[in-house]
Amino acid sequence: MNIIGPDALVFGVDDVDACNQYLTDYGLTPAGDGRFEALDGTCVIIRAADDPTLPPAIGPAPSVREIVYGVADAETLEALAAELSKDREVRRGDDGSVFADDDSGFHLKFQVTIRRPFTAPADLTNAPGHPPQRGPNLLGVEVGMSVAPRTLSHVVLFVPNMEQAEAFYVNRLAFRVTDKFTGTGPFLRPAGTDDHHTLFLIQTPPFMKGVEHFTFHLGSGTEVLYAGTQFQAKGYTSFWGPGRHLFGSNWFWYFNSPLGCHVEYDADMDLHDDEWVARHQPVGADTSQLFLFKATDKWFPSGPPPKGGAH
Amino acid sequence: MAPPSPTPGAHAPGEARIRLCRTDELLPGQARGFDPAGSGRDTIFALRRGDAVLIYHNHCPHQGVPLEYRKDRFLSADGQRILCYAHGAHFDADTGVCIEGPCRGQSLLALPGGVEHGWLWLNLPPTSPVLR
Repeated sequence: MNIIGPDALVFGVDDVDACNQYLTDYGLTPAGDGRFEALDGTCVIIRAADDPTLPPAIGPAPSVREIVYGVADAETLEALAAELSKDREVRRGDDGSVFADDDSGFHLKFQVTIRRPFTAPADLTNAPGHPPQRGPNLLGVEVGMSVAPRTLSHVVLFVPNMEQAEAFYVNRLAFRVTDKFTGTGPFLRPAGTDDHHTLFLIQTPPFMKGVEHFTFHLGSGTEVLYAGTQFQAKGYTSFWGPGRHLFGSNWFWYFNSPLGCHVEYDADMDLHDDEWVARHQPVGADTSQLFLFKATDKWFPSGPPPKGGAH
Repeated sequence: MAPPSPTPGAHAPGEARIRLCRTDELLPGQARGFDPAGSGRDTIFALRRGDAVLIYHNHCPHQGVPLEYRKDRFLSADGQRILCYAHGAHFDADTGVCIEGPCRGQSLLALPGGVEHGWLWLNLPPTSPVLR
């Protein structure tokens, strides 16, 4: 069951213009027809909430309408269709794509992945005790350096029954639990990726069902800090961050959004294979982050010029 | 007595109210955030509903976080609801009561204020904990 990860998230919104502006300011590339793409072609798709081509809403607009998973090949689509049709309605698209609902009622689509191969530079580090990664005269940072979301990393869902939701993804779609916040929810990794998680589930009351956040991977912690600083300077509201998570080790910075969920910048996530033994911990400030900062205006120690001119 | 200075956020020493903005700067269907005590973020917001102007604490009853997703963006696209863009709570704009989302039945804190001589006033002292 070679599911790679989310290819696209489709939202039905009440303020299409605001969402278009938001995702462009976030750094995604408008590709037309409501698509906002990362470097590898993974994307967010914005539609008006009353668009009749959308699957039914599971909450008031704005809200997620479809979660699109990329899979490795057509054989995986056939395997998925066979597995899911055992106990639920499965629809097929002209291209072989598979449509079905998960056990929480989220509308899923599976397709042969749209992810394009791409290359982009790493953030090279000079660490004493280790050979330098950035040789003489190579600069680490530059004002105005380009930061682009590289790939759709993960989506986080509020679900009314976390154990049932986990069982569906583990038993039916062959996801593995990498780590788990006991009583709250699991971090899940599909078979086709080594990323710590592409899905995290959070137990909530039924009326909160929906997306809590999604994020695209940036290239480094520095990129998370720089992109978030620029985003905040455009007037967007920081919700949580910047900081660094413990489970997954990824840098994070979450912002409010007009899509009906938070949108995160993340980078530098741990990779795992099937040898990994899941950690189980209660969720809390100390277990969810190594550190947390709050952005502040730029400042310089000598302070502002003296009032009344120079002396 | 000299006329009050037309500076938003200005207040006379000892006076328990704060000037926010001219009322014609508050358009129907839009909201506006204010930081009257210089806390570094907008701690309150105001919106016009018909002839009335309402002022609310920018503090969602669900998790105590700011509501807007961007400067002054507190409302649904049609201007009829206040939305918390953190976890999707929908509030009735007239009453501040949460009608959808995680804090259903709870309310935004409405703040005292009013319109006088074309200005919107907040009837709280700048030292109010709500403004920090």
